[in-house]
Amino acid sequence: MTEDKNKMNLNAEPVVSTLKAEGPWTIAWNRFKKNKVAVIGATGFLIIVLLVIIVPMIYSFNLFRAQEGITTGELIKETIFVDLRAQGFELTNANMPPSREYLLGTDRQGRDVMFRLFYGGRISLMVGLMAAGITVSLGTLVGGIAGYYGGIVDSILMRFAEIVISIPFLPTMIAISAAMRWVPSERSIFVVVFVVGILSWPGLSRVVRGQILSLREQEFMLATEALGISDASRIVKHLVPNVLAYVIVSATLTMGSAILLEAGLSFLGLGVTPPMPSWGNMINLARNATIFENYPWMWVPPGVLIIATVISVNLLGEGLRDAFDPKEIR
Amino acid sequence: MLRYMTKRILQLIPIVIVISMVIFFVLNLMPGNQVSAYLGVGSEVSPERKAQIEELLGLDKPLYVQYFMWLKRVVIERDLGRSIVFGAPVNEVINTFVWNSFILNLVSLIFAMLIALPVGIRSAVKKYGLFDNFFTVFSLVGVSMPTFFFALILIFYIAIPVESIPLNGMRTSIMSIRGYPSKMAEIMDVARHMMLPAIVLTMTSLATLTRYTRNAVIEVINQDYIRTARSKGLAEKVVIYKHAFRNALLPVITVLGMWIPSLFGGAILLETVFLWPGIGRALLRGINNQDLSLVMATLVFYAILTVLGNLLADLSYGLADPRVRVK
Repeated sequence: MTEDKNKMNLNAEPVVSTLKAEGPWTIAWNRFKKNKVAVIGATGFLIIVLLVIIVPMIYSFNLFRAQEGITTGELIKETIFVDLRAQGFELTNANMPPSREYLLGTDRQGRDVMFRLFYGGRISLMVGLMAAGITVSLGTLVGGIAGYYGGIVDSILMRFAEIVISIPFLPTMIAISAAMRWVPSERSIFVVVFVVGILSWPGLSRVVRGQILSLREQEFMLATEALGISDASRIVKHLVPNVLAYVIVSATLTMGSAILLEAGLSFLGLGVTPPMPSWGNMINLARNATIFENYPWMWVPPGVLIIATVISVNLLGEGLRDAFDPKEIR
Repeated sequence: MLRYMTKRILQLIPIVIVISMVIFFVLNLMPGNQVSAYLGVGSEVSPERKAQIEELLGLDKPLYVQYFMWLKRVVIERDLGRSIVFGAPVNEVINTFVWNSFILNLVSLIFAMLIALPVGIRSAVKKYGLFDNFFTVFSLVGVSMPTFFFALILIFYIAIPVESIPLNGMRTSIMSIRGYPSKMAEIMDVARHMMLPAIVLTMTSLATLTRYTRNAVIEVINQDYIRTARSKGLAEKVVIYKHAFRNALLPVITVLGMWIPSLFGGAILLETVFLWPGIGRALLRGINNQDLSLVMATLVFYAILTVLGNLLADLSYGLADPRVRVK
């Protein structure tokens, strides 16, 4: 593809323009496009994100359209900012199996499982995204400082990372979530995000530190010093881009594991708490023997979506890793 | 070697102490009243009596004093306290449940290894072949699937329709109350109950272990000495199993070293789904009932296991590879 372009340019313009070097991002993007697996992962993830955004909107739109005297402005507003209350419930419709009216059936309170599934998806994806954000920021910050300054700062920070890494992950998370059970439902997602975030940064911080340590010694850094480039510019323009690949890959993979952790915690009744739906606390319904045996439509779909999401995210992460790796020749 | 090991083990002690400190403070954030947890649900006491109990338990002192009291009791008096939920000393509780977790984990790990090693080697030898691709997808699904969901699906599609496979638990309750007719009957009963949880655990370890073996073997196959072995005209089988595999075992052993301590730690989610009476489920019950002594002891126990796992991983490098052996 790029070769064709170059040939065309060669015919039309002077040679000089083809000498323009491809930036690392262009190289990565081209490699990513060629990596079928990564493209499948990215597409799958995009589809899930779109469904999660659009499906609750449709519900909200249908509900508020039927209301009398609603203006177009209000309708648009209600459609965009879907409220959890947008989905009413009728107890007379409880425990209905999937049908044309309710594609995935209804739950014990007569709520549409389809709505809860995709609204819950928003919550689960948000938890994953925010937890990955915290992990990556902390990991890069700690690793960056340790690597750049070295010496005593490095020793202290890495000792600290070693301690955090040795804390038994899941048991401690469960204990902290249990201690924070008083947090109301709509804010319980922040507890999960916080708990996952503060316990999972050390892995990345070690990688970033190692990278920065070795980059610092390389000749191009000496060159930046010789050129009199300022400290800030050296860090932002020359060190950060070199570790950015690791950070992005780590963010993707962390997001996958954060989604799994949220599901596990909520399954135990400790993560995101009802009435706010999340994929994990929807599967939690299966701990009730009646629901488990007789109403599988209430707990199987969220599990399937978790698997689909995490597979897509992991494929995307692996694809990005291959795309960014300068040693990889394909 | 011995001096090096002692040094490494001594280095672990401060780490474990700091972790126990962190855990202690986190646990004391738990809401609820330890006095009422101590007396049992629904008990009403006068404020004077409550103050007495608080003094007895040392709850009137600042948190850091309480921590050092705990540390002193554990280290010097070797007393982990009493579990409220199980009504027994904590070390007895842990000792009972830990072996239930251990047996389940051990069986699963053995199965996982027996499958993962041959599969990993074959995937590496025929890289990107049908076999390799199948197991690549298998591993991907394995690491992307929540274990508890997989467990639920197995119960739903296997244990419910098939009469002879139990839904959960570790023993048939009538049999364990009346006593088993023979040792063999007991083993068979436990094995029947263990089947589904062991399948789940084996699958999850298999997912990572096959990838690990595969990548290790691929790395070795690209080495010069393998080319030499081939150019000597050795049979491919000898090259792979004698020359490549032995070298590829090194990283695999490292992973196994890390897993030895985790054999004693229960998979909390899995034990909850299958109602397996392991240490993970005991911990969850402790957390739900504010059984601080039990939770504290179990979490520190887990921390020690994690730290030991990392150490074993380091040391096993030396055992498997003479080049990194420490003098």
